[in-house]
This record gives sequence, structure tokens and C-alpha cells, in this order.
Amino acid sequence: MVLKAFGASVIGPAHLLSHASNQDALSVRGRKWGWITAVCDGVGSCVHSDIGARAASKAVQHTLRENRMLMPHEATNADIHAKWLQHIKPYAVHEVATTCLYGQVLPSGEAIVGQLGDGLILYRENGVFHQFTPNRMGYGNQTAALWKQHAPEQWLNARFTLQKPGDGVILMTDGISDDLIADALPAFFEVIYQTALRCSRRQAKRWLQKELGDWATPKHGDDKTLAAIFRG
Amino acid sequence: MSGLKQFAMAEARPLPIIVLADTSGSMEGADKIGALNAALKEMIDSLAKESRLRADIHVGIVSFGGTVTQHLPLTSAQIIPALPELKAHGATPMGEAFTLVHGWLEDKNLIPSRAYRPVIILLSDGQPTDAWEEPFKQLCASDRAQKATRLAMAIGADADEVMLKQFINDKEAPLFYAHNAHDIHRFFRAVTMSVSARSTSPNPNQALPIALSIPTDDLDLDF
Repeated sequence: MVLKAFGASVIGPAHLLSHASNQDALSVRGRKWGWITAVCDGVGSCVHSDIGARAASKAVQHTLRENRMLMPHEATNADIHAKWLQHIKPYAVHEVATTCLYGQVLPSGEAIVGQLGDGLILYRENGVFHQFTPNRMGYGNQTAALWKQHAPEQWLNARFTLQKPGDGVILMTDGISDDLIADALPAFFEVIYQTALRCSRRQAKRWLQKELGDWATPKHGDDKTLAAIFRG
Repeated sequence: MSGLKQFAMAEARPLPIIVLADTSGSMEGADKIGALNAALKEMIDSLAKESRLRADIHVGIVSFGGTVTQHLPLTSAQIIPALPELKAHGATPMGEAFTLVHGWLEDKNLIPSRAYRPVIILLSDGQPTDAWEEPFKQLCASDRAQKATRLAMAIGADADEVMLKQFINDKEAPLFYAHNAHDIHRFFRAVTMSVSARSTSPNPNQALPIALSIPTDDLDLDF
């Protein structure tokens, strides 16, 4: 089975104006056992949230490349949290809190996703589109995040299989998801899949960077990060 | 190749500001109601002119004097028409006003989930004349409404400070006091500056301290 993966992260206009760094982090890595991706969004009120987001991205990669999806979700989430606490040193947790979304797809098509906090995960299994993340109940940016204590109840997880060409998973930060038209999510998923199908990984990344940089919602300001893994 | 523009909302994220204005009969004295009208107009004008915003500021005004009135439905500050002036008369049905605002906050069509955290501003110069406790409890306990930032200003010496202090949920903002018309202006200027700063920052959800020490050349008019 051919798996195609790519991602991009762009700094938001608000952070550009204030000369701040991108507080999102992205990693998309492929190895012989498939693809692992992480999309993390540093909590805006934390002074070093960019560091926390990058640490979470690394923690996901370290955990999942050892894990190979053999562990139950609860153990995987706990391991990511423990590794994040190691990676953020010497910073205090309240300086670096971050959301954490991850996905892993094996060459067999078996897939797992996990989410703590804001953002959106979409997937298509056996040709059927799913919005994994429930609709937000409160208002913008009130989010769970990696913090001092591991909070198993705050994580969301799913396990599924990419069976058909076009099946896949997309993860994104709320800088994108909060501006997406709800009814258009399946079509949004399809456009990203078609791009992955037609382009090299590098071309797809450039396309995505341009699209996120030219975001259409007026007055948008947040950083924007998206990662995708598809069965080709 | 298709682009992603077609999937993005055409409207900016709203930042709702809801003013709960006591317009009971006692607000007539010392031209408190005049000061309130002027301060509200100044706030709306200032927010409408602000061009750096990362949000579309929506202002709504609920008055409670005799009856509860939706004086201004939540409307983008940039398109608010000239408003009729608030008039002072009658009793103080604050609990009914809480119920109306509670309904606004829970209505996802009116305030979508992508909206930034709303701000509710309560101004009162007296004591509620209806059973306000239960509506207030519901406002504080409900899923969405409890997440709004609540500020309050006590106008004059008769205001129920205990009740107003209970209303506040922002650690950065104590109960503000208006001893004269000038204080109402200063309060609204401070709120305007705070909301404006919040909505131009990279994180418009984060509440900012409200400082009342704003230089002004207004006359000090006692109530």
C-alpha cells in the first residue's frame, strides 16, 4: 500500500505583527513502519508556548515510533505526556502548555489518532468521511492542554483502518478549524486528498503553505498548521 | 488545482460585548442616564473606528427599567446605527435581564462557538426589585454563559455592592464605582481600551487588566 503524507505550518498575521514566533509545531515523519504526525498549538497565554508545542511534537514522535500501535490509547497518551515533561525542561509547565493532536498510520493501513485540546481531526475510512473531533461547546480558544498532571479523561482517541484509496486522516490546529464552514468539511478533505494524489510531498507542502498564508477569513490572526496522511 | 478559500468563513470571528444597563427611575437623578448614554455612544464610536482588530466586535445592550428591553441586539460595532437614547423609569427587574442575556449566550446561532469569549458589563445604581438570584445562578452555572467575562460598575451610593461583587468573575477587574458622571465615562473608556487591546493581540480570548487611570479632560460632575 502506498501512503502519502505532507503538512505545513504558517505563522499567523497577529504573531507576524508582534514579531512573535509561530506557536504551532508540526512533524510529519515516515519510516518503514508507516507515518507519524503531530500537530500542536502552544497555549497563547503561556510565554514559551512555542517551546511546549515543539516538545509535544517530539514527544509524539518518540512515543509512537517505539509504540508501533501495540499499546492501548491510555498508555500511549500517558507516555506522550511523560516524554513532554522531559522535553520541556528547564521550563515550567505553566510557561509551555500546549494542545496535542497526533496520528499514526501503519503500512497495513491501521491507524490511530489522539487529541488533547482544540483543533480538528477528520478521517475517511472505507470511503466514509468522519469528523472525529466533536463540535466545540464553549467559545474560541478555551482548551484542554498538556499540563502538570496527565488527565486521561481529556484525551480523545480512535482506531480505524485506511482500506480504500482516498481513505486518510487530516489533523489541524484551531487557527484553521475555527474558520472552516462546517458543511464543507467533506469537500475540504477531498481537495486536500486530491492535492496529495497529484503532487509530490514537497509540492503539496508548498501549495498548503500558500493556501494557509492566503487564508480567506477576514481579520484572521492565528498560526495555522495542518498535516495529512492518505492511502494513495 | 482547487484552493481552500472556498471552505473558509467569510465573516471574522466575533467578540461580543453585552451591556446590561440599569435604567430604573433612580437613574434619572444627577443625569446618570445622560452620562450612560454618552459613554455608550463613545464606546461604540471608538470600537467602530478601530481598524487593527483581529475580531469583529459585536455590541448588544439590554436595559432594565420598569421592563426589560433589548435596546440593541448584538450588532457589529461598524454598522450600529444612531441609537435612541436610554430613558430612566420604573423598577429594577435585573433577574429578568439576566434571563434574557443568558438566552443570548446559550444561542449558538447568535454567538457561534468560534466567537471569542464574550464580555458582559453590568451597571446598576440600585437594588434588584425582582427575584434575581435564580436567574443569576443559572447564568453562572450554564455550559456557555458561565464562560463569559463579567464586569460590573456600581453607580451611586445605593447600589447593592454585595450583589454586584458576586456578579464579577474577572480577577483582573474589581467592582468599579461611579461617584459622578465622569466615572461612567472613564469606566467605558477603560473597557473600550481593554477590549480593543484584547482584540488586536495575538490571543483575543485572554482578558486584559482594566485600568481606570485614563487621562481625560472631562469635567468632574457630581451626581
